[in-house]
Amino acid sequence: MENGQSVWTSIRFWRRSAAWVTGFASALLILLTFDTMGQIKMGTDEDLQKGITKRVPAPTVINHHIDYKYSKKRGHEVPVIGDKEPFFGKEWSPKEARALLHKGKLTVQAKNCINCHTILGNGAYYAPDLTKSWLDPKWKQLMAMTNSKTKEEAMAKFLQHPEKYPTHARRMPNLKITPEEAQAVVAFLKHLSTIDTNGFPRGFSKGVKEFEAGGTYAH
Amino acid sequence: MLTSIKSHKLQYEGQKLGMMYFRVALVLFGAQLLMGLIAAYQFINPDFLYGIFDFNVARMVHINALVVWLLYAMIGSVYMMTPEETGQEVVGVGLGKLAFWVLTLAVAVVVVVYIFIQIGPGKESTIWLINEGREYIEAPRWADIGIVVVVLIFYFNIFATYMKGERTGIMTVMVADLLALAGLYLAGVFYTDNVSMDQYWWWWVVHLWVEATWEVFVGTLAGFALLKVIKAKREIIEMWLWIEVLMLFGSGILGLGHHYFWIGTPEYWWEIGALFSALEPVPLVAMFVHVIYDWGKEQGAHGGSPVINNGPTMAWVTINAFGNFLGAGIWGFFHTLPQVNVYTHGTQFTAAHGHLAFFGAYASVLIGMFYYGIQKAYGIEKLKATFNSKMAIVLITFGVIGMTVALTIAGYEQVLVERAELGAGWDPYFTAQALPWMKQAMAWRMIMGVVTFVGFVYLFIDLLTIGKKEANN
Amino acid sequence: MHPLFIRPEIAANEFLPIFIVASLVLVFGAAYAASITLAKMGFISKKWSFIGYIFWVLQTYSLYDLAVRIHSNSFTLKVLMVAMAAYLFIPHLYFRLITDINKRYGED
Repeated sequence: MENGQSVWTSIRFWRRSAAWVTGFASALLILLTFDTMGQIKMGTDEDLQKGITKRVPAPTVINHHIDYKYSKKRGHEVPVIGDKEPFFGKEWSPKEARALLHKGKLTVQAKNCINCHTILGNGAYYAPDLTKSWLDPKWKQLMAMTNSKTKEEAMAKFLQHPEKYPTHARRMPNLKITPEEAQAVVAFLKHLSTIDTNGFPRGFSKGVKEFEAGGTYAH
Repeated sequence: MLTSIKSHKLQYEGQKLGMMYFRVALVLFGAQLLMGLIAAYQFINPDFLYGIFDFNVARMVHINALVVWLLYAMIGSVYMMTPEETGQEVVGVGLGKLAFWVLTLAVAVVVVVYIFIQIGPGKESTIWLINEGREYIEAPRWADIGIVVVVLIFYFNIFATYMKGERTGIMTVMVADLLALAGLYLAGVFYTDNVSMDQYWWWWVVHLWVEATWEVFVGTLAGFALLKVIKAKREIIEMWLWIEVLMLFGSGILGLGHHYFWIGTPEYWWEIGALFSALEPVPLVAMFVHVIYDWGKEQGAHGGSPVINNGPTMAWVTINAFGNFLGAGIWGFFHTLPQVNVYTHGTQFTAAHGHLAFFGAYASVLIGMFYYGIQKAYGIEKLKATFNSKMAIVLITFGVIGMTVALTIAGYEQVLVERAELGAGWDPYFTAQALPWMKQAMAWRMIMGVVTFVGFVYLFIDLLTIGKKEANN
Repeated sequence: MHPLFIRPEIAANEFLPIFIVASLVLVFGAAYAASITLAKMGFISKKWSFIGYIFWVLQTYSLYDLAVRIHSNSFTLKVLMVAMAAYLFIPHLYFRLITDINKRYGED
């Protein structure tokens, strides 16, 4: 009590309350950050071999078939890591896969992708979200357009010369992506699609069934 | 041209430095709007400057110029208020001026590189020299380091002055808030291959700036402005400020959770994010009610002739209270709950919210500070709004609200068609973009952007001339 | 563990009502606080202050409607309604606070 006045109108009381509330909120945030850091740490190749699910799997996940399916338990879609499949015609060792992902992420930043696209929903809104782009049924059409045998080949060709394969009036510009960079970006995108995003985006490309028949939920 | 804004009547060198920051802020504000117009036009005509000055470049400069002009205006405002609050000349003001020129040179180089080099190869060198490719904080690493050094000098100026002079409550909040604001920038200065980790810390900078420390910053600034412009009682402002800090940090810090719904982070962020983002409008409602109260008291106390000694500043601070509630409050809240956000995340809704919130919460009050600076710089007792000031207020406010409404309609259509019906992806995205609702919304956004820009021209002319005009009256 | 949020599909025709009621929650909330404040300051006659309470009722209804439309579970719904009961007092307390501050530190 300052001079017998009510604490209610005391500056000191509110100053202290503000400090306590701020401190408490910050402490809680830091605590939660530690927990989250543990949960979103990139998994290892061993986890993958043993079938341990990680929110962010190891880079070697690019050696596996990826799907995005409804989970009854979770109440939304989750990435499903399937059997092994070749990626650009080979299996990538943990070291190679790590280097490839590193180059891919660097290229995504260097080419300023997020000022047109969104990644995990964050970025600009001038072009489609890339979160599950690896699973996009559109690549089938691009495979035909680019005369490619595999999806990754089509993606890499498209990324190097997007101006040659227009699908809409709004075209992606040529960003001078080299063949190695394109391969790395495709690896980044494949890895990105395996991140557990709590079901975002919901029902990915479900309406595309109207565009083409058959396939699983995601493709 | 900008030197026609004089600062000779200012008694403190620190305030003259503040005016230097204001001049650059004004130019960057103009650059932001021009880049916005280019990007807006590319939505309508995607061939415009295709392959020469692509959307990603225009958009990057648009949002970077925004962040940098707001920061310049914020630093300028702090240099304006510090000598008045502490009764002291700013300590080390010479160093501060050097830092200003270093920072301005760095900003100029970064912008030139953005515009002419644009992108680099997928190597570390690009991150260091050209652009970091992370939204809002694209500045390359060398510039990051420069920014940290300059901010340290700025903080030394302010902190040393604070320690030397009178330590008012307003200055205490300011000094503490600036420390948090500057420190948070460091959370954005690192590279990782893990994109979830990347975005986790990226939000520490972006969210804890615009939804926590910047909010407290403008609260402090608005308190200072009310102190000066309507001669409000210091104790009342101070106490009110602490309550505001309590509410803003109490809701804003953990409100961070609403950005952690979908980036790979655990599910408990749904509950935390939903709870605290529901609380985030509370301080905004409180501020809004407080403005009504102050207005009412003013009416009662002076029989309808209030003692406002700076018309334009008061008008912009009032727009701030409403704009903050509308833009950050309503436009933030209606798409934030996780049940809805899974559909609205990453759509034009975010752009609508961004436009109104950045304008309502930040641009408005900082424009108010420009006028406060002019008033002081010309030693004007009572600064009255001119025709140009009024045109600027009307056109900019109308333009921004218009853009927001247009983008909201675009966002609604995008949510329905692309997200709810088709479920995101390449074809769903372009299907939604091609519908007339989206196209017309984008045309209206362009028109309203032009209105905003015309308002800016009035503002620019007004700021260059109002001082001389009013000082002669 | 039973999740606190079950995130169901939202039907296409549900989005507009959801966006509108969510906005109305805040609009009515601000209108309630504003009218109570204005009434207490004497700008609106006291006998009209019931209009403020109508805003509160509308706000509570909007919030309830929002919660139902986004399929909140019954526990969340109860918490929200308790919060709304508490909000009934907030503008009064808040007004008390600002007048008490003004009384204590004085105008002029």
